[in-house]
Amino acid sequence: MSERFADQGLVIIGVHSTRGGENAAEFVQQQGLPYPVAIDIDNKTTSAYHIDGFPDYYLIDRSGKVRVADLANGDVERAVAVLIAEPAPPSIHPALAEASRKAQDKRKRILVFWGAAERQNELLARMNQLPQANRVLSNEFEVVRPDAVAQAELLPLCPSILEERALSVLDAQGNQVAEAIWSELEGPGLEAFLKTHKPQTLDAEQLWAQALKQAQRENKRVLVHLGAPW
Amino acid sequence: MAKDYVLLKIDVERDLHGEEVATKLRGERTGGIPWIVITDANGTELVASDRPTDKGPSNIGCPVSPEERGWFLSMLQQTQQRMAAEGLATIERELAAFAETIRH
Repeated sequence: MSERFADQGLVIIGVHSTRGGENAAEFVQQQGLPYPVAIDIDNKTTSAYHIDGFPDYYLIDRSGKVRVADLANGDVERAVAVLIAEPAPPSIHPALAEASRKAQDKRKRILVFWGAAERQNELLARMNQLPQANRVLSNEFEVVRPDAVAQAELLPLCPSILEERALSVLDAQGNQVAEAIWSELEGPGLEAFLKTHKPQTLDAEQLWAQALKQAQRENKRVLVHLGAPW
Repeated sequence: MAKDYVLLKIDVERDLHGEEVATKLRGERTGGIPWIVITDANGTELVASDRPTDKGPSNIGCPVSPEERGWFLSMLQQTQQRMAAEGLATIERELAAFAETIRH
């Protein structure tokens, strides 16, 4: 089974009971098991999964959820095949998913507002009052204003600043590009931050020339979409 | 679509020389954006999103209405080199589904 699903992302982890654990390494070696086998110290895993017999099987899906518990021997391969066939979950946090989709479509970046809603509102109001900043904001960024729960979940994205963090710029895939704390955005800092971290400006002449070259190389035609950010 | 076309998005407001390229491709034609043109590999226009009507050519913009979707599909039919009928049918279904999201 490990070979059958090896290229499709199946990871097998064996857990040996506490009892007899001292002989597990020798057994694994003798059997040539092609996956790691851990020893259940103090029956903690057995207890956590409510294991009632050996062997027992538990399947965890790609998003980390236990999907099948206490599986019988004869059903394991079929159940694995069902989970393997499921599409991979999106790797981006749900709070960023829509902005990411739009940002990729329109070659924008994502601007994440941090902190309490009142402070976010103040910052947005300042942006709206600065014509240049407002233009850069609407043309170049998809805005995300996560609630407190989502902010906590997004923390691992941007771990360097905590409560002082005001804005993060992410690329369209959700990777952090830059961040700013509140004091850095005072005065001209806000407009400068947006202008500095907006996506790179592309040269349409170059894009057009590259598209024609590619079309000649691949015997294709060019479909040009003339549009604007709005 | 990638089998037959190199897809190129030009942003007339954000891209450097965006306006120049737009003028080169579109000339004096008007009708708003988005505007779509399909060219051969030398840049010669084959067909554009200006749908023939009783009152003259009219840019379909984002193809939402049945007439607009029909013209967009016609643009592909006229210029495709490899795309099977199945591929066109898939695009037709996707356009119809998109139109539904706009309507609601």
